[in-house]
Amino acid sequence: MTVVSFKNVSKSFGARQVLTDITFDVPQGQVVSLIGPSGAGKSTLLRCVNQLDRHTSGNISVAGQQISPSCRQRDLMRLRRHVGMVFQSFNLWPHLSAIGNVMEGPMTVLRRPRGQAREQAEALLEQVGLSAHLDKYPGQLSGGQQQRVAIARALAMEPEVMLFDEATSALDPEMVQEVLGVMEKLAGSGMTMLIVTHEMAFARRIGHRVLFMVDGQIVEDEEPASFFASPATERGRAFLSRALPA
Amino acid sequence: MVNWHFVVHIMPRLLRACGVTLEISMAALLMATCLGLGIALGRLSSIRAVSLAAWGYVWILRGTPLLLQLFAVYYAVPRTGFRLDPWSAGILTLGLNSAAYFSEIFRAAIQSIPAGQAEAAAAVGLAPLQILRRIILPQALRPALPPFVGQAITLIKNSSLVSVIAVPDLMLTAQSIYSVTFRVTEVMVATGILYLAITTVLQIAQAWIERRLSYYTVR
Repeated sequence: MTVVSFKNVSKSFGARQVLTDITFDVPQGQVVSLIGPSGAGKSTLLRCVNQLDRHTSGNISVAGQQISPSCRQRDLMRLRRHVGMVFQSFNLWPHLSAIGNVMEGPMTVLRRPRGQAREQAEALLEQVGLSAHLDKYPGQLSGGQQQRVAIARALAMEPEVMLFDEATSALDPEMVQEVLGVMEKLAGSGMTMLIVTHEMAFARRIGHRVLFMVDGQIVEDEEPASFFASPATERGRAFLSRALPA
Repeated sequence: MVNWHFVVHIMPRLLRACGVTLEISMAALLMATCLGLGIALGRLSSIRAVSLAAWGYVWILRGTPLLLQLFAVYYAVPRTGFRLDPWSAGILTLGLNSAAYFSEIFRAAIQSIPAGQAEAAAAVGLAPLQILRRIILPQALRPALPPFVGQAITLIKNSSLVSVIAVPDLMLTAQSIYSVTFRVTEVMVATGILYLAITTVLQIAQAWIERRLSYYTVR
């Protein structure tokens, strides 16, 4: 079953074209790494999946729902219930505790009763190794802990696909592993994932597929093993030689 | 020198008038807060006509003297056939005027919340109004509070202007006492103390609320 499908999707901010004719399908359970030089449009592509950035032409379908460039707010809200997103800068809500952050979506969007939401949030925070920090506020947590809360917050909506937008780029090196560990566990559980990352080793080890982007286009769509061993394009080779210092 | 016996002597009358000042100020404050929030949201609206209307409101109400607005509401509005007593005219004018200032305070506070906050909420599936009520406004409260209290204090002091349309507030009562007794010094000292007392309460409330709101701040 296809969870995310892009067909001839383009996106421009005013006169600047950032995505050009993007087409790909992601089957359920696949872990896709989006890599490429900065400014290639990786984050924009990811943000088109849950329509934080609206595409300007083409068709997107997510979890069976068709999204057109002109669809309404109601359709966007319905779409976003099925898509979890983790941001580079965490974006936890500082006025809510860790568990409050996780409970917010289920309570406000899904109208779950507080007790039920709390139970689920406790289980999720335990999964990401934060049982000891349920009632702490984001400001009292380390970057790695905050990002794990953010992952739990996204999972609380029981999404069909998870988007990771450079989830480890803002972390101190010693905290990268704890977040990658959670992501790896999630991938192992069969979650469909789209990951924008600069962690090449992680993409190679965890990913099922690499989409290599340059200038708003997908220039390579390969299995990690073959992409990392021998990129098909000159730009792919050039990128890897810079990203993977010998 | 100040005759303190006289100050004490006129206090009961001034305190009653203080009640009028408080009543008018609080009614205007309530109105200005609600209206100000509405105008702030209007300014931030993506609908151009709405944001333009809010901008125009602030432009006019902030750009003309309060005293002129007071005369306009009290003397000019009745000509359209809509009668207003001095109290209502006073409250209405103070409320409309302060709403312009409050709206700018609220707008600045809302805009100080990083865009990622609303984005994360949208990504979870919250509706725009839910994002505002659950995520943005609770966080905007803290940066809004100090300028809000400052403006509320200005409103209370500005309420002395309603004395010119014959509302028997603290200022008008003070004037009527010294115009009979000619003890201007004592009357002004007593009246000043009362205004200061009211605004001091607000300042103390501000400190208390700020402490309450800082529960999620680290260090």
